[in-house]
Amino acid sequence: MKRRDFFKKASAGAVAATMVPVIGKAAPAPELLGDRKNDKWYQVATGKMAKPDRKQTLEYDVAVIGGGMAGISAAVSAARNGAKTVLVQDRPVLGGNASSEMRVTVNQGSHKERESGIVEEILIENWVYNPQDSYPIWDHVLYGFVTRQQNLTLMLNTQAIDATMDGNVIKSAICWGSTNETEFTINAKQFIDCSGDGLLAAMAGAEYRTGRESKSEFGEDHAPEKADGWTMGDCIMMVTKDMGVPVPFKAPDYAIPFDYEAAFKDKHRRIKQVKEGYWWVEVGNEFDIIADRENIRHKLMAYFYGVWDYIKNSGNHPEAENIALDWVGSIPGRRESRRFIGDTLLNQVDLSSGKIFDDAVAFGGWSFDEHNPGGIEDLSQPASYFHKGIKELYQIPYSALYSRNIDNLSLSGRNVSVTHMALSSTRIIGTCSTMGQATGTAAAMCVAKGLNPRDIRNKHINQLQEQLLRDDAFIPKRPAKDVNDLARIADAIIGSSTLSGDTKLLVDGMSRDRKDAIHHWEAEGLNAELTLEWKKPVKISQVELKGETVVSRKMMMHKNPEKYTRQGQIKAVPPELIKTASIEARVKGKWIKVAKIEDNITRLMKTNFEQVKTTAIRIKFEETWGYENAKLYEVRCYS
Amino acid sequence: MSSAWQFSSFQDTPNSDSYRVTISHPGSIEKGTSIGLRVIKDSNNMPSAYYAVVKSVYCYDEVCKIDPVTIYWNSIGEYLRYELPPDVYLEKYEGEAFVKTDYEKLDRILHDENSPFKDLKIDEITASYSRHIEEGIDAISGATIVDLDESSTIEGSSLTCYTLWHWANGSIKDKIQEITAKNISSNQLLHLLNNSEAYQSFAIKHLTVRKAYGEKIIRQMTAYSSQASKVNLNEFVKYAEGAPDDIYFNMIDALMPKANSKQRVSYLSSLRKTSYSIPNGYYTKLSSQLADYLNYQEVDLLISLIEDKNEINSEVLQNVFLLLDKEILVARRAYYFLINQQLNKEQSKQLNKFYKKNKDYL
Ligand SMILES: Cc1cc2nc3c(=O)[nH]c(=O)nc-3n(C[C@H](O)[C@H](O)[C@H](O)COP(=O)(O)OP(=O)(O)OC[C@H]3O[C@@H](n4cnc5c(N)ncnc54)[C@H](O)[C@@H]3O)c2cc1C
Repeated sequence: MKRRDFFKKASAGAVAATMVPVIGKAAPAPELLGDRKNDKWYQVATGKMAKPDRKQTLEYDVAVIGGGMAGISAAVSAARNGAKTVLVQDRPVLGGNASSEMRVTVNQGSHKERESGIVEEILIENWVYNPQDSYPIWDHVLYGFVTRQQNLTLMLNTQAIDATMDGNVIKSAICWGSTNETEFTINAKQFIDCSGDGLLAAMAGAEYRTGRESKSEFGEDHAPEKADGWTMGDCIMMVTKDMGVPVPFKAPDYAIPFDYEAAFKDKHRRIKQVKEGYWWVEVGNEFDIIADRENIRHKLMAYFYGVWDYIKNSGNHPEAENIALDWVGSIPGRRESRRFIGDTLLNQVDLSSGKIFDDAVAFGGWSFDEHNPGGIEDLSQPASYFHKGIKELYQIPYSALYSRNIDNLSLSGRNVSVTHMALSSTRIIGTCSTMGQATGTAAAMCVAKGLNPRDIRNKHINQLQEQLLRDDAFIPKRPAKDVNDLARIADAIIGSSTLSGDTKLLVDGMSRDRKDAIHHWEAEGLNAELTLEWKKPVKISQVELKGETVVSRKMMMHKNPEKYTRQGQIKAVPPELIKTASIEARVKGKWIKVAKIEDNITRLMKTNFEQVKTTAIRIKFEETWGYENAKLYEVRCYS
Repeated sequence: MSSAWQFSSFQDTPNSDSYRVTISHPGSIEKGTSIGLRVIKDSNNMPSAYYAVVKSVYCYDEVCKIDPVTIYWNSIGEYLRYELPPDVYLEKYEGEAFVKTDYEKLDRILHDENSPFKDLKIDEITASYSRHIEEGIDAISGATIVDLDESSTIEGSSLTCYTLWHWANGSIKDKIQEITAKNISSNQLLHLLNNSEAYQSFAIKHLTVRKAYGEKIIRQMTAYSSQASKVNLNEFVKYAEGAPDDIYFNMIDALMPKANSKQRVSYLSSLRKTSYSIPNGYYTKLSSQLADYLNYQEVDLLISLIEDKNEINSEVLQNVFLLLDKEILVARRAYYFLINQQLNKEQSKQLNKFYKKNKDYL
């Protein structure tokens, strides 16, 4: 096995194609890492000199690199779909930009509706374990969510730094554990790089781009005339507290004075609140934002304290008199660096035209929120261009989520195959999570079938989409039509009462209401029953339901508590969601209870029981989390 | 420029009352806004319409122009139309005046009870309206909201549309209904049964609240139920369920023979959950119609009622036996009922025959 000289390979592909330079290696050579030849470790207890064995080789089906919201979604879905999975995260906490280390809000891709699936599960769970909306506790909500999944191993403080290759196939990720001085060789069949910067993918020689495409390359009218190397910048955030009495502020020596007169010429750069940081305190880079990161971090801190000094000491912001900084980020949150090239390169036109992809697996809906690449260092430009153009939810194709030249490498999050302009919309965390759920599910399919992502795209895309929809992902304009779902062939579906919608809609493949049509059944009151009747007996061992979480209502955690009221949020399990239900099957004329749903907090309710041969299933809805009626979007039955 | 939406200010007539009501409006930062609501009465002294003067926008930075707008509602709080004082023109964000088509569009928007404004929060509108980046990181892209469907907003005036929509279609509706209900007799309510579906709902709800179970009212309500929409059939059943036990039972009993399948399902479902005791023999009587029932659900309901009450007798058995010839879902329900009963030889034979023929379906 020979490690690849990625620099040469990558230059041949990406640089030629985009005129954008590719950067060099960023990590130490792995051969040195676990080398302990010269240790002289005197173990007092045994009286012996020892050489610790700090090299480990681990075997997994799927290795996910990067534990941001994309990586968590990828790892959890791969594991749930049966692959032995490892999630490798270089920080002590999960969440990436959304973690307590950066505190970026887990936004939904569209203001009008949320993502369902794994990201929603996590957001609901957060209100159960963390109603106090504490960021450090949120880290641990993520930790609990990930570590309790079967088939999934979490490795924190572990950084993937290199890849060993066999031709175009990654054999292993070489990782360094910073707390245990251990070098891990992680062998896996499929790799999903969700690390944002994508070091593993780059080391494997996957082609990528950085910088901004020219207008002409894809007909993106928001893009600059000429391609250049700028990426959107990094940021740090803050959280403050109200001390109730005036508090002084002395800026650190390294603070850079804030040129507020120049800054405020742009209406976006204003001090509108003193609660949670200013996204326009942002620093980008024209060539290599990764190599410059420590420098950028210092600058961000310096600029940030300069702005705060202005707020506290200029006399222009009396509202900040009692306000003190409680937390300021120490590592920059990142928006953009490498974008790896897939079979499809998603661009502005695709998103704004609402292009239909036959391999759609995820979705987004944010506007083209393209920040001024110079950030606070270029006050001549507006802080962000809010280009118009996203009219409705757009599809994200699977072919933009795997590498076009490395066979077993998928990507999710901000490092996927999109142009700079498309990334200005797709980088939203909710959107990144939908990608993760898609690649994780696909990776498990790859393992089960002994195939690679491109084969799944070409031969099994329907199966992938159906699995995602079954697992409560949402793909706009792609209703489910799972041939294995026996509820679809039920001869009658009867509700004990109907206040709105129709029981027929529970099997129409759309698991949320759309603007033009509803897709639910709502009974009057609780203690409602739903009965499915088949003429001929069917064998059933799984009944799955999708309840109501109101995807039009926001669910994320905020740094600024005012937003909960202003956005009409509920900081609890959605009251509309079914809490308690039971499932019965009619066997030889007698109803027997086969499953019970208790304390449910997820939109997707899955039950598993010993297979029964039956002609009818009856579901009794007993309790919600507060709402007066039982409401449902979908019912499915499987053998 | 003058438009069809400018009328001379309304002249108060002697038969108009006025009320002060406190409304919560999602655009306001205050808990409630107090407004004067005027009632227009018809010749019978019954409320026939309402109107109030409201502000065109809630605006907390001084940049907005706030205009008085008069909104009219019918007697159950449905939006009718709006009017502006003669010298008032609505404006868009950049100061551009409304043109005729904008005024017309506003009226259309206010008429749409399911406008997207219904679920939007003021933040989402203001973020797009003024494109202010308040708050959070990137959250600015509230700008996305600007991409409200062209047909559902007036570009540059989303905040006005939003504010007026919530006036026209918001919680004032409940206040108006409350006032109308206080000022209307049960007879007048009965009249409303000839009006639109919304009026019918209003009438039934308030007859139920009033416990209006006089003979004439019951008679008219029973007659009405046969043509009630799905929603109002539900309301009617609630009306019946609110009656004392004998009246409830008599109403159901009178309606059952003429009921269609949908109505039967409603009445049988009601019987299944009522706590009133139903006279012995009633389900035996109903079972004589079983063979005419059209679908599985009603058959299942009636057989379940029979099972719950354990009202098993030879007549019931006979009637259920007739179902064995029906389509399989219905026949199977009958079969599963019958196998648990004491049958005579002939009946057992018949059941066996059914079993043999339909083994694959059981
Ligand atoms: C300041 C700021 C504000 C933003 N505002 C918003 C907002 O309000 N709402 C919103 O939705 N989006 C916002 N974004 C965009 C959004 O945060 C990102 O696009 C998104 O977090 C990307 O998700 P991800 O999972 O791809 O990557 P990340 O969240 O960056 O997660 C990647 C993880 O991988 C780890 N990692 C990296 N390299 C390795 C390696 N070699 N080995 C192991 N682990 C590795 C990282 O430490 C990180 O934890 C903002 C971004 C920034 C910087």
